[in-house]
Amino acid sequence: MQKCGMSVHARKKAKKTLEQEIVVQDGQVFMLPEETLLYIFKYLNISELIIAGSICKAWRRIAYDDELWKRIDLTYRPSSVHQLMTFFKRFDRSITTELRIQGLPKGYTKFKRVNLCQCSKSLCDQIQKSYKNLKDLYMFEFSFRETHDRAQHISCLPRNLESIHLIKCEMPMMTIQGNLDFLMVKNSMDFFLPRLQVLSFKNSPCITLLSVSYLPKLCPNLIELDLSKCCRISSSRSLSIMLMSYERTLRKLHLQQTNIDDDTIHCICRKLKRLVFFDIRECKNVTIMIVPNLCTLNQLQTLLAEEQLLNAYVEMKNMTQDEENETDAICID
Amino acid sequence: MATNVEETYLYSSPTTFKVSSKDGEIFDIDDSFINQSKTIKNMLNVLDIADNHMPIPLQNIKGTMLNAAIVFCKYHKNDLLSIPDDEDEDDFERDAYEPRRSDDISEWDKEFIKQFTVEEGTLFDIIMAANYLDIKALLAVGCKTIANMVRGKNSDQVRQMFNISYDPPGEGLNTPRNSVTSKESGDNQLLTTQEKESRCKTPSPELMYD
Repeated sequence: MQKCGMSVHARKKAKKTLEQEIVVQDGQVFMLPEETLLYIFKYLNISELIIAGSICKAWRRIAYDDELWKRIDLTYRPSSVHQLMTFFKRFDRSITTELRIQGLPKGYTKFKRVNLCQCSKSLCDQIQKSYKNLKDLYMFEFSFRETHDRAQHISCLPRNLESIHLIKCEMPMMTIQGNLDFLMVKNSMDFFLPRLQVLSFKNSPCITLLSVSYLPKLCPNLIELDLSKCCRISSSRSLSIMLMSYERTLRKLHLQQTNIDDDTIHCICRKLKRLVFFDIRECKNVTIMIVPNLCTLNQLQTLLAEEQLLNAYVEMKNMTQDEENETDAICID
Repeated sequence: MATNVEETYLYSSPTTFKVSSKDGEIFDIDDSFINQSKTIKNMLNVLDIADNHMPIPLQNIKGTMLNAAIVFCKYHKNDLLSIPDDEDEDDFERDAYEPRRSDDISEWDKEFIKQFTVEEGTLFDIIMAANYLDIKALLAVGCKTIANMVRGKNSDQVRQMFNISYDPPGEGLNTPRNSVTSKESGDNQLLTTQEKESRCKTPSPELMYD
């Protein structure tokens, strides 16, 4: 009430003194040690954490502790690109190593049909600016189709990324020109992700053979590749060549529900000797005939496949364990 | 109680010890408690209390809280197996990354913690006791309960609930320099942008989106 007659200057001054003033907090909650509050805050999601940070000085300091911002998970609610941009600009942290974002899912609202969020160049740029030390990026339900600012989106991401997970995303389809591909980086740009170890396109049915053929150039050091449920992935020479180019690094390969066949697996078994994990569940073109080849993957620890195939694999593996020579013979075939 | 003396000398499985609380109450504790409270376990390893059979003084804990903690440990003695014995710090690091859920409090635990949420303030007492005694499961239940209390409320409601006076969080406090765990400083650029932000408007999380 008394503030009514204050000049702007006086009000500013009052605000400043209020901010500097040390308010004695005697709430019971302040008995808790800071570590315990930190522990409590770990159970909050990001927007709850931001509310906690607005409570008082002590809570703010804890809510913005590095520990709580190493991993930013925004998947508890879908966000538009605009909302994400606002968030990234406001909460830029160099401590963050993992970022998970959820685009608006495709569907209908009251008024119109909604498409997936566009993964625009500015979004990728902002990620790079705000999270310099980002290592793991998870994007759920984004569209990578051509946008008006036409750019290789992926080349705008931080270069030190170790894993990219594009889950339920839409990728550009083949066009008549055939060069509309977000994974294709022009030679002149000389861009690649040297540290990228994990790449996942899980549940992205739009990803085509053409797209994956650029992978070795983009990320030559992949350890894990996930193409689960990418139903456009089918056996072809280019797929085999792509996979085989990873013979030095690749250890985990997910091909669940793809249209690959025995030929592809034959190539994989011939070249990718380092595989420790291999998922070929629900690949209807894969037959039990391929079991002998699978047995030649000596380092394989986990094989996920249809029951019949798996049983045959286990049986054969047991049989051949002591007869190494014979397996070699089958391998040469 | 005299029979206990002989039992401790036997040193067989249901070992009991005595502990005394801040207000002088004495409790018998058995394996279920010792195994779950790292503090007591360490104490017993360091001090050779078994011999003189004096109650272990726990100066920081009220009798009612100690009693509650003992009840809690008795109930949870069998799920010890499911809790990994994380002696090393790496383990702690790892679970910091895992998504944490607070909606998985079991029915028994909910009933148990209810006795503290009714009476104001004692919830913090039991958390402090769990913290002091280093009983992971009890600490988790308490902290989850508080997290659930904060959830879904706006800042005014939270302040009211915990009796926190309005205390403008101020500027530049959310920088790495001021954080509890961080040792590194730097990122002055970050500081300035955030300062600008907080100068523009008092932090109101409701404005976070749009």
